[in-house]
Amino acid sequence: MQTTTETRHDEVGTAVRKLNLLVTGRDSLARKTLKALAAGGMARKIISCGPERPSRTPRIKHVSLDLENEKIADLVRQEKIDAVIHLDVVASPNRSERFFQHNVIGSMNLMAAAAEGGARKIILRSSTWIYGARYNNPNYIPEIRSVSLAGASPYVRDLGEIERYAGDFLKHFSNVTLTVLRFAPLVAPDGDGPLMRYLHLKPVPVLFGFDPLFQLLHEEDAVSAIRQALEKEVRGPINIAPDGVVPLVKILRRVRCRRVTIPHFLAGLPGKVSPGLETLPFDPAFLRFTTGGDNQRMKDELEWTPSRDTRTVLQSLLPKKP
Amino acid sequence: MKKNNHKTSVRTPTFPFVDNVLNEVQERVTDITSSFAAEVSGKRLAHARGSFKEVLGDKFLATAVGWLNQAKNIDLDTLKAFKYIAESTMASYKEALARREKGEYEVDEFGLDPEVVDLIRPFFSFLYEKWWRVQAVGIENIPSEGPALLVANHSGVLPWDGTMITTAVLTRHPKPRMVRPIILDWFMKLPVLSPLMAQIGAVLACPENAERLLSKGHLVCVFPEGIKGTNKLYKNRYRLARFGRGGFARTAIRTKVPIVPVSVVGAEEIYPVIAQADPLVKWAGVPYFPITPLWPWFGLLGMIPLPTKWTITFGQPIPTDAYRPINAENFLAVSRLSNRVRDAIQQTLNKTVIRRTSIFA
Repeated sequence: MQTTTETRHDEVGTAVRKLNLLVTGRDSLARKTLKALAAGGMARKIISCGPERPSRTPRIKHVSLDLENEKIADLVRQEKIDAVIHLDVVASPNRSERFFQHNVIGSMNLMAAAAEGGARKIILRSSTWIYGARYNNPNYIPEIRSVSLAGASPYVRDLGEIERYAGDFLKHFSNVTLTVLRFAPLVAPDGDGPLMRYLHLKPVPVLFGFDPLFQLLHEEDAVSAIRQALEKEVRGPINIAPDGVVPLVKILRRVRCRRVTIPHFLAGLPGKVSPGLETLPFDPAFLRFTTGGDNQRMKDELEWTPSRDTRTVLQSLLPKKP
Repeated sequence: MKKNNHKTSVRTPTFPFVDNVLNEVQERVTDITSSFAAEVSGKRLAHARGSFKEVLGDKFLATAVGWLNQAKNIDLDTLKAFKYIAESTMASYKEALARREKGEYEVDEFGLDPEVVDLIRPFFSFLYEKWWRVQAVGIENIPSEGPALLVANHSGVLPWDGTMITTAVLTRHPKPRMVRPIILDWFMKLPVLSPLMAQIGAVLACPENAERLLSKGHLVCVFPEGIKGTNKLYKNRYRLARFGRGGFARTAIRTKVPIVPVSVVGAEEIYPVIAQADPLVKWAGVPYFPITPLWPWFGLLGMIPLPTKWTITFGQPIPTDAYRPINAENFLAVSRLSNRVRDAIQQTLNKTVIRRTSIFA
């Protein structure tokens, strides 16, 4: 088995490449990613890092370190980490200093530490929501569109701030491949992403007279996109979005959610007028305006397409018939 | 046979016509299928007749029967046909609604919902055939397949012209095609209307959307005048406003699709705008606020368009495949193409307007 540094970066084939990976994250996407990486033959060593341990997989060593800790650079150096997969951005509905510290400062620290420790690649998670919900957005927003933070919820604003730093990082560190995966809303029957949390509300609030079109990305496909990004050298942001869209109301009808309709001008208010909306990490404008990602760069440069389109993903969310 | 029994027992001499009709229906239905007849006939019929009288009262029923007697020339089969049509329509709507309530419907990547298009088509057909008596000229200039950019003059406050161009291509073209009108992004802010517009095929105005549609072979219709067209004063009708910044020409060059100039005559008179209430624009949060003889004084009544006579002329396609993609970044090339299209539309408008004798004929 060839596992030398030289063969890791050659162009010959994927079978001989074995990487030392550092993965952060605590949600269902992180758990699935760790599981897939441990099962697939890509990694020689996987280290999970962060304040919370995502899962107890025997092959995976967990290092309990805060992301804003400077010792991460030492960890990257000592463990000869090749690639950092950063999924640990907490989707909190509230503006709290703790999560800001973790999400934004932690991500900045992790990126800098990865570069200093000698990692060659950083994969960062983001969301197509960072384009913001605007009435005049194109239906499929290309990556070159500037990130807009005005009126964003704390979680989306954190993602935007991380992306701004990532943009600077790309300019200054030419020897590190930083790939930012802007995922379309992630769903899975066992998922715990923001959209799944929304779908689990009882009843699910919708805005009167609005029916935005959603792209749904299955978490398994997101994992597969991360694996593809490990293999390809793609710098900068890429929308990871499936083909096809589905109207929000159709999603709710298919998964048989009880709905409650509220006028859009009340949606931003706390309390009983917007039932449950204040517990969500994204702002209600995403229930009003379509926000989709243009997936052309994903197809051309990442040379990858999700195995499920939006329609199939919705199918997988349906309640199982007894 | 039960049928005879029942005939003698329920027959009432007061309303011979109603009885005759009901009995004939019963007999014919019995003839068609015996199983169905068993349900309809007999006690149910008698019960129905009884409750009719109860609800309506004898006096009212007598008047109604009087009218019915006058209308003896109405064929029973016609009535039955109406009844069956109404029933089957209701049944299919009910079925479709139940299916849609379960979420079993499909939309395309810009939210076009074919079922909603079918549902709303009779309304647009009515406007097309009866209200504006639209005459479509040169429809063969629309290609039967492949993309084309339809560029039209914009007028009439509300985007009725887009719906009529769409209806023309959908009903008059040898190969019916959907036209995707590009609409002002402000409409996306409106509840109810924004999803409805997407369902019937309209797409928000931006270069990305137009290019995506054209590169996938759709027919796209743009109105480069934008709100300067819809908000035109009556005295300025059929005088084209500035064609934006020529963005449509840029899109056509980049995607190498032919441009079909479309001239709509008739739409510029449907709401005679006598003034523009600009101070109200900011207050009402609308892109423009026209004053017409009926709007806003008469409320919703002012939104009923005048039934003018329309002529939609589809001009000779202007090819763009001779351009190189780099020309799209050359403002001069873009501006020349834009002006060429604008001139073509203006000339057709002038010719058509001169030819007509009245705005209603």
